[in-house]
Amino acid sequence: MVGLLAIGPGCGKSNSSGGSGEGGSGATGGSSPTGGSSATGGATATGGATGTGGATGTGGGGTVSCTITPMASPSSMIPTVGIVTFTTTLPSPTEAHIDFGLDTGYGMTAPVDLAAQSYRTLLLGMKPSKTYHFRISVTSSGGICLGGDNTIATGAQLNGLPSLDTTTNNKAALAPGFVVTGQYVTSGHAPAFIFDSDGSYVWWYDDTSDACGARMSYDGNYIWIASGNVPDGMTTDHVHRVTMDGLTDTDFTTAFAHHSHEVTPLPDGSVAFFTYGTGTNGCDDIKIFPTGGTPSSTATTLVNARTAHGGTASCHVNYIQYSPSDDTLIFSDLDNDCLTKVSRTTGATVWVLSGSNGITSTFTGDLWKGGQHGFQILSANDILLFNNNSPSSGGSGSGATALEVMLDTGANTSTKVWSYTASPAIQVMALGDVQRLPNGNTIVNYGPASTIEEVDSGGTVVQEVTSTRTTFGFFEKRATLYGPSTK
Amino acid sequence: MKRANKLLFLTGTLLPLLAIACGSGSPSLTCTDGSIAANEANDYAFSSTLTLSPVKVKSMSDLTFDWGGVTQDFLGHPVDPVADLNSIFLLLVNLPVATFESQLIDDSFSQSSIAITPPPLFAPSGGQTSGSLFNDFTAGGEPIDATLAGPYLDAATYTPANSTFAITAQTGANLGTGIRMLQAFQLDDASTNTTVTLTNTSTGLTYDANLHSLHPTGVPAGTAALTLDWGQLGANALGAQITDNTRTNITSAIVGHYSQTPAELEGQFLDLQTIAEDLYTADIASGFVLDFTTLKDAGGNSFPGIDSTGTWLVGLICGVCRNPAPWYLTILEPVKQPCASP
Repeated sequence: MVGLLAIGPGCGKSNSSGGSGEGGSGATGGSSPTGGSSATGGATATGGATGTGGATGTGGGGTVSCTITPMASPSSMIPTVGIVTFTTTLPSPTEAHIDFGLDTGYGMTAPVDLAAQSYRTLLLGMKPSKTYHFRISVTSSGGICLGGDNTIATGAQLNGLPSLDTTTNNKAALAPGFVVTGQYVTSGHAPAFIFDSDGSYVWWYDDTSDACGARMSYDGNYIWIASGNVPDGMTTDHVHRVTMDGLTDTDFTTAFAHHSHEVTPLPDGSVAFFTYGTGTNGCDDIKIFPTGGTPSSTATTLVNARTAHGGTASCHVNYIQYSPSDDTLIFSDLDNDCLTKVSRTTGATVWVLSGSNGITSTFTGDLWKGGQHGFQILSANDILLFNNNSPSSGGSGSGATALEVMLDTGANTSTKVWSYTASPAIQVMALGDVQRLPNGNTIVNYGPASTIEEVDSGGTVVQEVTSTRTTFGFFEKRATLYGPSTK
Repeated sequence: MKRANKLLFLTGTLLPLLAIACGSGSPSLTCTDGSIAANEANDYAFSSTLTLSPVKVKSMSDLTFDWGGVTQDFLGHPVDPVADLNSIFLLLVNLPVATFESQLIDDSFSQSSIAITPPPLFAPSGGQTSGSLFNDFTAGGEPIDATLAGPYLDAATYTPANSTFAITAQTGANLGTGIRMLQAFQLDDASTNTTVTLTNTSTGLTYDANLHSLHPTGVPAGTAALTLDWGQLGANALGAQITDNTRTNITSAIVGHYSQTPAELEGQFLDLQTIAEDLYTADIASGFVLDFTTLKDAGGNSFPGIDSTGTWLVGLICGVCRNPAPWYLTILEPVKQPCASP
């Protein structure tokens, strides 16, 4: 941000300083290298205003003069979401973004879709009842045109969101960003929400049901909110896709009939999910809607869970993730203590990791009992999972554990490379999720225990977020609310 | 409820004496132009106790739960055990019973103290008023059997010093909302009892609602152009501090018009929503100010403003609290405008 501060605001005009600056607009909390506009925009502009990690990458010959005229207002549905439109006299823009923050140091960056009408852009990640500064930057082949500083006031937080108690033990070690999650209650008013590293709510949406699963689409334009629907047939059964401004809520409940727990958006716009007990053998089916936006009423059944892992008992699929590197899906079956990888195109089983009730694990070595829920595919053979470790299903009951295993697909072995158990232990039978963060921290979500811990690689708790009033659903922590998922 | 009435009776006897001792009558009325600022002085006070009387049951065994005899909930309201008690939850709480009781009352109970989540549930649909843990209850949709439940029925692990079991009979499926009766129990290797029976006295509640110490608020009569701002309210009526983090817990408001006096309302406090001659409610989506023009009655009629008849109360409700007592409640009285200079 320092580099940007060095460039004074020029209302509706460009600025002449073309100096570089470390820590460009995307360095922290903004467009991450894997996230928003900076991903392919050429992070190191030649003569541009931003330096490493910057969002204005097309280079060119420094700054140019133009007029940028913005309009901004908070969303009427989610008043922490700013909606900015603007016009510019800069011809043929090739890139644009909006830096925004609580002061003129900004700190966050929203990429601008140049194809959007009036360059409509959402400012995401703002706290309630605050005044935010923002500045628009537009780039063309001739250089960068910087707008002046503007402000937008966010509205009040939705009443009735569960109070979050945040204890940060080491702010410097904390991975900055936002937690996207929801709440699992058996019925009732339980909005999905996003909170920042301070524990401040920055986004919420109430689709009138619970939000066991709340996951942003890969393009970052939507959030999919799914009720738990456990067991199937709950009157609260909901699957909604909501635009990030909260203004468009599409009800896909019928299309996702019998779904449970959550739905998983994939990079190409398709959505994977699982249906409760719909297989002819009584087990859950793994399903997928085809590529291309709006799910139709005919999802494809990719494979039945029992068929895939070869179990003999009941099943209870509770989570599914996509592995882009090998175009596979991995699903978790609580009842059978296993993860199963299947081909996304054929449904053929690639491997089964751990297992009980007659399931033969593809791998030997470090496996687990006691069930599991959320997990993250760190790489094709590196899996981080939330092991519930429930005594009722063979676990020790000594606390849920974040467990990372490395798979050797040649030797068919599984080796524990990292684990973490809270102290004192937190034992939960249901839900739970885990994610490795870009700085090496791991964030662990003990769902029904209403506790989320972020720990460093040594297992030291960096931050704890608790609430007495809710069960956290599945989650993702994102450095930025723009761009694709990193989980 | 007899205990509750007795407590109120004692309160009603003592307080006039205290008022005399203080050398003053009723608390003074604060005249406003209709812009009410909630504060501790114009708020009522509420305190309560909850008594759960655990019964002992045989450990490591199937248990039968019977709620057929519940005809009155712990608030004293009538209950039809078939029609009203449609969700029966089994809770295993990692707290001794006294702590569990107090945390329910002061609203500090966290569901992280529930050992089995989601809790075993039986949702009777065929008129049943009893159920067996192993035959009728499920956990997360899965049947419960001895293998699944066994580790949690061990008296050596779940002792009265660290745990409380409770069977809750409630209306509606949202755990913790609509609980009508709760019976606690404890595991005991020496016990032969395998039935937990809920009765009208399984849960004991005493409370004290104090409306006579608050400073009523004067507002112009016959107008809905009133506001109530709780942005500076430092503590709620239960005595808990209100922080920026919890101020948003208020999600709705009620305004009631009663034929009873404030003293009589203290004795009927649990029925405020049913005995009102006129009752207006409003959801408060955000912010800390109630706009009285948003209040509607059940028929959709707007709040018309107050008059000089009966008693008018305005209350603020915490929508996420387990203790349903309003966080704020005050008495409104009509006063001539403009207010006299102090």
